[in-house]
Amino acid sequence: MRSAVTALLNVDRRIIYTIVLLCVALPLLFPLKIKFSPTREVRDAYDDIQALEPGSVVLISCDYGPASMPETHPMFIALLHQCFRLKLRPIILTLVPDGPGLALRGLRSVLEARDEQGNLLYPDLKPGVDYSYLGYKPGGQAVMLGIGQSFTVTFPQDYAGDSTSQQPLFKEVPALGDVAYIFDIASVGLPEFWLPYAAAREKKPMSVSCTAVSVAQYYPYYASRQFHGLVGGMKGTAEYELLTGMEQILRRVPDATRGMDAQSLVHIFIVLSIVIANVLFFIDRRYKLADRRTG
Amino acid sequence: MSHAGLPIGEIIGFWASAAMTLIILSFIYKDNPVYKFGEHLFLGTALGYSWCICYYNDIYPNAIGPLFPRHGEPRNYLVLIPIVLAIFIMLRMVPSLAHLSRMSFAVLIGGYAGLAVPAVIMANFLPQITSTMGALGPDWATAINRLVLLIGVFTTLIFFFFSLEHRGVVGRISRVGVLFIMVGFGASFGYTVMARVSLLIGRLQFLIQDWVMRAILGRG
Repeated sequence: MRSAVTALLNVDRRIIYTIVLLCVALPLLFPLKIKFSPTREVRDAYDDIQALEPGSVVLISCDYGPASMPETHPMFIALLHQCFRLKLRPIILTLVPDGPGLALRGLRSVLEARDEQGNLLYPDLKPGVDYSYLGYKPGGQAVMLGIGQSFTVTFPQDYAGDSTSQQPLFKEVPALGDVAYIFDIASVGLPEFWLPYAAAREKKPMSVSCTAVSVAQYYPYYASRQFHGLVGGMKGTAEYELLTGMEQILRRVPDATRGMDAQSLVHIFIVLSIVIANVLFFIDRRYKLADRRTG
Repeated sequence: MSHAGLPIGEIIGFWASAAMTLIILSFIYKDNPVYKFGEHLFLGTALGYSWCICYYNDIYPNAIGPLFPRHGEPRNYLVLIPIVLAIFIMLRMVPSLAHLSRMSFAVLIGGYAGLAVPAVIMANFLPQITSTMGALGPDWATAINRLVLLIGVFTTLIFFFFSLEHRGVVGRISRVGVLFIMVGFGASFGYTVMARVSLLIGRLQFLIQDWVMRAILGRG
């Protein structure tokens, strides 16, 4: 018994890695379809966007890079589909240097999405009219304050190199004060800057989608209703995909939703490991105390 | 075109990404020369990418472009001021001229403090205090939540109040604060585990769906 306890307490970490790997890989190959339902934080963000009038402009800041792609990128895709289905007009930008390529890839995938008959889902969308992709601009807070004055001065050209001052969208919506909603999808601490320098300054509602690491940091802002909605990590994104009906739109299980089975299995394994390790620790300690008593 | 109508460039991209993923994951087994190669390749690529992004989005449009315009626009000599200030920061590497960098930092700190102080007070400080001190209602559940929040904030602040020795009543209150801090750390740790697992899921999704299914088997 004692040798088994000692062996289990000193188990090779590679065995644990292998179990984690299996817990992730197996559900991806053989989906378990574990049910989950949207939480209030995610539903609040979704409901806010749903409540916007057709034609309203939503500023989407894609402040994430490849390192957090599984948690954040599917959220951008779901949000864009939701915007285009509701005839909202997104202005997309990024304030992180590794963001422009991903944001462009996400936008393209949505613009090129097709229905079962092979027709484009959104065939009539025109850049500069129904949406705009501004790309990356360094400066963080300076950019936020800049677009508070004027989009076209801060971004004289969009990502494609076309002059923004000639685009109908920016004639109608010249500055941040004219957009209806701000949505920051972030893997870095930028939501804490979007709040004071953009949302609070221009008195605009704002929601945040962030990595799971950051959620605890942003809950106080959600509790104070400064962030109207909070989409946290892959789980939050999967809930948003469920609300948006991404499975019907894409006609396949969307990425974050597909990851939920694996996420659940790994969590069960980690919780069990913690419980077992603690029980073994106390058993081992009892053995050691007994040894000390017997000399 | 090749498997499942994928362009050959995309297939090469899938193979390169898959190879890099496996090379980096090989560190889980143990440190090895292939991992070192992957690590250095990543650092080099990331640095090169950052330099290009920095040059085309920052240095050229804000410094070189206005001084040497391409399309016959007038030169903007005002950009010489930030350029000189930027050079002063670089001079920290020259001990005899390092003091010049103070001027640049004074401008930076003064500017950012001026921007940040009112914004942070109006958007972070006051609303957070108001939210914490909110009325105990409207229902029992909300009232209990707010009471717990208030006790958590108060006891945690007492823990970080070092002007009084943590003994007696103050000591007991600060110990309650420690419990709240531990719960906070636990929640953060749980979320961190979730985030790291998500990254592994993302990589395995890529390996299974894109690399194996699309690039190798030519499905989907």
